[in-house]
Amino acid sequence: MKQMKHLLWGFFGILCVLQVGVIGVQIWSYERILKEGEVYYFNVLPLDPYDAFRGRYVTLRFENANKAPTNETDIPENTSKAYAILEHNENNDSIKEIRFSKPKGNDFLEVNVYSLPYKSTVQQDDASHFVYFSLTFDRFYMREDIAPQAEKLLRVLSGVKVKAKLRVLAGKGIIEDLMVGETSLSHYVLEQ
Amino acid sequence: MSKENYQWLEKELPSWVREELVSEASAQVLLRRYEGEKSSQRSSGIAFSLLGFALVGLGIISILAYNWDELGHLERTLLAIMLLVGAQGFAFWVKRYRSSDVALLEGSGVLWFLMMGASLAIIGQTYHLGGTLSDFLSVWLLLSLGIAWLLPSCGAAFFQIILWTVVWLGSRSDFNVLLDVHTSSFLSPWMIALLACSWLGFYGMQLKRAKEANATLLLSWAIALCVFVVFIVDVGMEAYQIQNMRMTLTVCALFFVIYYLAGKLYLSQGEKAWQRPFERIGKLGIFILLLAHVSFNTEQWLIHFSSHSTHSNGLMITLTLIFGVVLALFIRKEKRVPSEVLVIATPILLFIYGMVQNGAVAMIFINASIILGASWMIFCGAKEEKIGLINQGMLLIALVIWIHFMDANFDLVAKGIAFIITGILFLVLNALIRRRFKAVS
Repeated sequence: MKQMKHLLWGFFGILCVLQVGVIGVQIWSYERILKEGEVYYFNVLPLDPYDAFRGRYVTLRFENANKAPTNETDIPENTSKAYAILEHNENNDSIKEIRFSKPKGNDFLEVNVYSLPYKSTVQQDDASHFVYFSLTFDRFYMREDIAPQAEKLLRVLSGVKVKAKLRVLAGKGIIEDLMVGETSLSHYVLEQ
Repeated sequence: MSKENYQWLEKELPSWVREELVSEASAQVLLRRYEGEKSSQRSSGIAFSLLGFALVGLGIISILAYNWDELGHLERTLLAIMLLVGAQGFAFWVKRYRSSDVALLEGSGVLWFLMMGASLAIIGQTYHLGGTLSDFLSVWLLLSLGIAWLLPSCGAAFFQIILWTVVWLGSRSDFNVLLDVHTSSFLSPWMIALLACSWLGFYGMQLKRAKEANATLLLSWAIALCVFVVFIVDVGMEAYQIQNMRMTLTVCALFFVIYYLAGKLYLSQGEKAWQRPFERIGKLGIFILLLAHVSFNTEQWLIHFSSHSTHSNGLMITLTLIFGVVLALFIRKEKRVPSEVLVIATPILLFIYGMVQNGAVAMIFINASIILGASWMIFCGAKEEKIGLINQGMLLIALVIWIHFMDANFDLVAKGIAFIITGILFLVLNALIRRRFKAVS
């Protein structure tokens, strides 16, 4: 009976450590990306849905970040993971190509593949050998009152371009902020 | 023993002692025998504690969902950790120093469970993490798996069952396609099924440990409703694919009868309707199924939606086997024709209904069966002086008449008059029976 009680307390401790550990590891890894990650800017189109637990956010549709070519001929079948090689450009940062083996360096991002090119088209060096994918992040949480205003404002001011400021480190990326020019989207909405 | 029964016993015992039916010592032993259940498990304190902690937890989640952009990363992450560690610490304190206070134990479990979700939500919104709602709920489900067992807390298990059901629904790709939503979880269906073993095991333990407790009853309702939802979605999706409504309705009948019999045999926590979730859901389902077959148009409707030929499937065979087992156990226990034999016989009635080729004969068969079954209910109710059973039988007969009346091509005035007459007949009969019972007693 006493042993059972000790075992129960042991499990109690393990569960507490596990829960705090998962939260702690998440915080550590994301803070590391924010601190050490390379900055990239992508054009996005924000929309405004709602999450009951995490609040209001804007869903992001990334422009030029849903398909890219691949030069690899040996594409694994039924794969859902790939690596997008990022590059800095004058106007916009973009995805240069898709690779299926993990690249060296830090200028790449893990992506979810949902459509692969046919093997025959890759071998023929066809121009249509694109890989279609989605980024692992697609939402930006905002204050409850600002998110719908942001969507409304951007719909009215159709010429205004919003850029997602990404931090990327060793394949992992997170969105640091949404920018309109040099201003954060939240500040921009409040100013308007 | 229910609280009401205990109070009755407490009131009656002194007169029994005076009449020398029991000795003073035996009376004290009897009171002590049932006192524990009454004081520790059936107090309204548990309900208030559960509700209070649940509201506090949900309130915190709601406030944090505002996304306070005044708070920086450091404040947010500290908040996430503090909320979780605070709830863990509170649960530890309750378990260590107040383990006999069931209300506090239940409440601390609920708070711990909700604060786990709040912490994950803060991390999600702080770092703008992607993924579906099901992904978020799955992580929450995994990390809070042990809370119910460790304290133990039925409240935490209650929330976990609901969470599990939402994750399960989200993981059904065909269901998501039908509703045009994208909520798939990173957990595989097998993993989700395995997670169900956790709360099923906890429920089994609670039934063994404190079957009469209100907290266990709460768990019974959660399980009864969630398993029902899971079954209905599963069978609904299958019906959508195979287009055989006859078979689907027979499978539903088997499920509801198993629910009813399981409730009758093992899973009821008292005599009142709200203390018998499985029995109630099962019986209601059966009555709806039976009444759906009463109309003249049902046969045509079934032919229209049963384009594919009937074939046996795994679910039907499994349910038939389970039905056979629980029916045998029930017959062994009852040893007489039960008053609600109509409920138990429904899968067989529907099977025969499906086998009869002539639509008119099938319709007459099902109507006659319902009338007979309902009459038996009224007869048993009158014999056992159970007004509820009599009303149930009368209501079934009245509904059968109403359905046929709605089928007939009468105008609204005629229908209205018929409803009023049936209603008055119903009320008069009820009053007469009540008066008779009163006179007999």
